Amino acid sequence: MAHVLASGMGGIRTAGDLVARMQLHRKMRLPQAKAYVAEKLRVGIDDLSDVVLMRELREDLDIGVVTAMPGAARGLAAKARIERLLGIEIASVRMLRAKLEAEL
Amino acid sequence: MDRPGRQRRGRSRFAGTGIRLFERAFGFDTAELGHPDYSYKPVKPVVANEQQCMESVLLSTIIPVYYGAMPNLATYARPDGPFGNPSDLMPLGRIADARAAQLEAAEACTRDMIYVGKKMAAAGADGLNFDTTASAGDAEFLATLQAIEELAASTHLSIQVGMAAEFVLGMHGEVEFRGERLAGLYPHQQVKLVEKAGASVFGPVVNTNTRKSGPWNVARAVTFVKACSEAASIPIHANVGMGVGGVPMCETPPVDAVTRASAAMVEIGRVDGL
Repeated sequence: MAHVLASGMGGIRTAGDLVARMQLHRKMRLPQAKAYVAEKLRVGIDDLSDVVLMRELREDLDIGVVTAMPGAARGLAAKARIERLLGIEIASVRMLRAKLEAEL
Repeated sequence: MDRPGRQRRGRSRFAGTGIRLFERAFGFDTAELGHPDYSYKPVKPVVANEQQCMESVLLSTIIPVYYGAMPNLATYARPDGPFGNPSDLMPLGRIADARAAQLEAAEACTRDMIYVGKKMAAAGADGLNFDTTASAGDAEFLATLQAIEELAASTHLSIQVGMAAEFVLGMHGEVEFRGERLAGLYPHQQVKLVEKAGASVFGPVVNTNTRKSGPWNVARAVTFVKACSEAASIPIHANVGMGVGGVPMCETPPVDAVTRASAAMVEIGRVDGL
């Protein structure tokens, strides 16, 4: 917990999950991952840690927010939109697509 | 003060509830699912239960979710496992037998890690974490590197390697991976082999010297990690916790000591996460 408060990027409160995905999926170092995400979101790198700006942006893009908003994307739905936003493939979303496209 | 962000993982051993809590209430960047008996050998017989838990978590979470466990080669040696125990054989002077036992155990360990890894990939996990790698020395490091090679080539998993110590113990002494001896490697050398094996993230460890002060330990830890970060081409997520990364060795380290180490790792160590 101390680490999160002292040095975390804020997860879905801001853009921490998005930056993390670029590190995991494309092996990007932190500065490169932040630049990539900032470009995709069309914001400055410093804006990635702005909780107010990122909350509004995440609501507009419907990629998941920390509070339980009725109708807002969560879970797999949010990850499916993050896939499109970042140009990556997320395994759990891919598996859902395969289930949906499989013949009955 | 504008503080560069870094990635922080929360680990929940209490299935999806904890991970959802970490994601929503605490703003963790990633999460890790793990079995209470946090080693690959005991997970193997119950991996179907772990898959079910992983699938359930992935339905309702947004942050990346790893599955984590320890290679823990020691569990393969007698009395816990079927192979000879090098800690018993070496004091008897049976060095060749101790080396052979370690290599046999490593082979079994690699098989188990690949088995669990593929099951987690089938469940849709975002990544796999090998925690406390090389805790039993160079043979365990070899087992892990070989498992990484196979999993990186055959699955989508993002593979993280967290070490156990700042150098690799030469319990065998002559184990090599791609022509490089594993015994005695330090973080800036370990990361190059982990990269070659195909891992996505490397977690260097610097052990805390409990006879020295917090600042002394933090300074030493960031020195090793900075060199590792400069040598690395993949993200570096330093291990900073009980007894590693400059943090005091106790069950609940003082928050000020933890956060000083945490900040120093980013500002000076140039890590990409913790």
